[in-house]
Amino acid sequence: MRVFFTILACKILHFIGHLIGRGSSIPGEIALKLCPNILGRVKLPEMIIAVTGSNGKTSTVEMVAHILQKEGKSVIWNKEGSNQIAGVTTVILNNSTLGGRVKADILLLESDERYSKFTFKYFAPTHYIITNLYRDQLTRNGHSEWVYEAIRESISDKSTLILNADDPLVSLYGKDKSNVVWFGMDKQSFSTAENTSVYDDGVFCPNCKKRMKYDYRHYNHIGSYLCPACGHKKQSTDYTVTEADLDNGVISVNGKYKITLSFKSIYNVYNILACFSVCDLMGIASKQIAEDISDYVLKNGRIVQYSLGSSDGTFLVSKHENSISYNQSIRYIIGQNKPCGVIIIVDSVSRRYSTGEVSWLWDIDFELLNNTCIERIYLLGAHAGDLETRFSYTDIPAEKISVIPEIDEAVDIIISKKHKKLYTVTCFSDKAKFLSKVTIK
Amino acid sequence: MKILHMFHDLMNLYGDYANVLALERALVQKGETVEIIRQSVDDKLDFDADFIYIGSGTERNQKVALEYLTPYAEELKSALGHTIMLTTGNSFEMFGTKITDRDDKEYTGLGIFNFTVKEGTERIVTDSIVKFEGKELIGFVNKASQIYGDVKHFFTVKQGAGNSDNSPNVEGVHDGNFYGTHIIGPLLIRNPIIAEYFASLLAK
Repeated sequence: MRVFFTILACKILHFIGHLIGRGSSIPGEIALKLCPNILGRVKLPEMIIAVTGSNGKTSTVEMVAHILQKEGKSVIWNKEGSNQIAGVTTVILNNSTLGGRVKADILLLESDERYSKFTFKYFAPTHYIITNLYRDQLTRNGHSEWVYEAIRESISDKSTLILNADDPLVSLYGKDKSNVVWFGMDKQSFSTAENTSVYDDGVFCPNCKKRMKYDYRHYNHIGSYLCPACGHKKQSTDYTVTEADLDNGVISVNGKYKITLSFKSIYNVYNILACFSVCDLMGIASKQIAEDISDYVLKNGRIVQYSLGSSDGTFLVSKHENSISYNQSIRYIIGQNKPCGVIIIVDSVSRRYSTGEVSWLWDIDFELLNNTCIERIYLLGAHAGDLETRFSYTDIPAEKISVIPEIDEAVDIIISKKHKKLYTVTCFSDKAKFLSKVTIK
Repeated sequence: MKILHMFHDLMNLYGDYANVLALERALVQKGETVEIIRQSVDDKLDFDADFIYIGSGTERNQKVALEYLTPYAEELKSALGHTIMLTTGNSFEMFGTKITDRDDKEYTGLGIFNFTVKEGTERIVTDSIVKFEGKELIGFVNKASQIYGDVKHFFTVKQGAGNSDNSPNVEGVHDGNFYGTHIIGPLLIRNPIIAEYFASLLAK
């Protein structure tokens, strides 16, 4: 009876929440109070896919859902984005019968990397994707090794791990384990022999802490590594991007499946590859996966086209406190190679907590913006001064930089400069502050 | 002027490398010529410098640095007789007598100062305002440790975390030429007055 009432309560609360536009985690939170082990007492689908890691969770989950549903599978997933135990509980109970049976072929969950250990205390995913471990939101996450430990506690021997072989820290989860599926990317024309970033998390082996060697890197610590001391190395991959042509937006998986990209970014390629791997394991034909995911445009609002005055703009949602996310946007802008103005906004560091912590600015490769295609850089928001200081330590000429903390004032100035193309780089927390001033296409 | 940036590739969290850049800039503005030397694990350490800096690292990397520094403890201690040293984040913890990690494993410190360190399973994260010589400084603390013992502190705490629950009002260690603090930011970037403080000491 307890299960029955808990599910009923969750469904009612979710319904009311929907009517009044409240968040998706409260019903689950209350359900967990009514019945703390409710997730262990419902009958879950036979297949449970979970995705965790620093970056790419939301995009990967969205693409997996897209393909599986397109191929006729019934999928329950946390598309509302609540990825901690309460949000996951809401999704599961809301899609359960009152008798406690979750009717779907597949349960697909994005899971917060620090809280997965709580979510997966009562059930284990059959397939557990770990995308990568980067410096991300260090004010709440400490550092990558701290998060590594938190995820480690969430891993059950019952799960098949689907791991990024190119990430030395993520790969450590597969050490001495047999049920591991590896994905990764072969050496490409853009791969480099050395680290190209302002910091390097690939110097020391995450296993034994001796110096590692890299054959090549795709970016930061992602690439093909070998530790001469303990033998920790990039594993041979089951799912492989054999060719990646980012200029033309085409990749090839396992040497034969061509996928065209709507967003030509190496980071996006990894998300697609993780997605390809798990869909293949779900029994979808490779050819079909490649077809379904080609030119797929993510609906999660990470890229918004706008116009401002006479300028065409592209808004690239990046994550504050996450240098890889910023680098992704910066590399994308440089890759387009169009004369443009670049707007960077750091106003509220986080939408979850109030902090003035800006040390993460020093991990971003702003130096890449020292490029002839960049006409002018506008630094906006309450932390414009911190950005200005950061930029003063790059080789970008000061006369190419405008520091305008007030967004309203900045917008007028930017209009007057009549750039043909604009790019805006900022976080969810500051997204609306800019998008409310422009015309969204 | 020689600045030695030690463990630049091992103790490299929270943008702490920029402390060295800020000091370099402050010294150059005073007309000094600055040479930055970087030494790390696998290098023969040589403390012949005017200023030595170490930044924040993961708890594991800190233990690697400590193990590597241990044979140099005496040499380092005598270098501190004439060389100014700044250590930010958990790097200053190495200079006490003992670090106990979150699994209660003990590591012998360099033993240069009389304090012990206990790491926990929760992190202490907070925006900080501290005072130094009557001036307010800002920054952030992101640590998993408490510092116990009778230390000569670097800062007094106006807002944020102190050395431990027992001594919440003082932060860091300042003893002779040695300066240690958990304040990141980076410290010298967000507080030009402290960059100026060290530059003035050096350019005397």
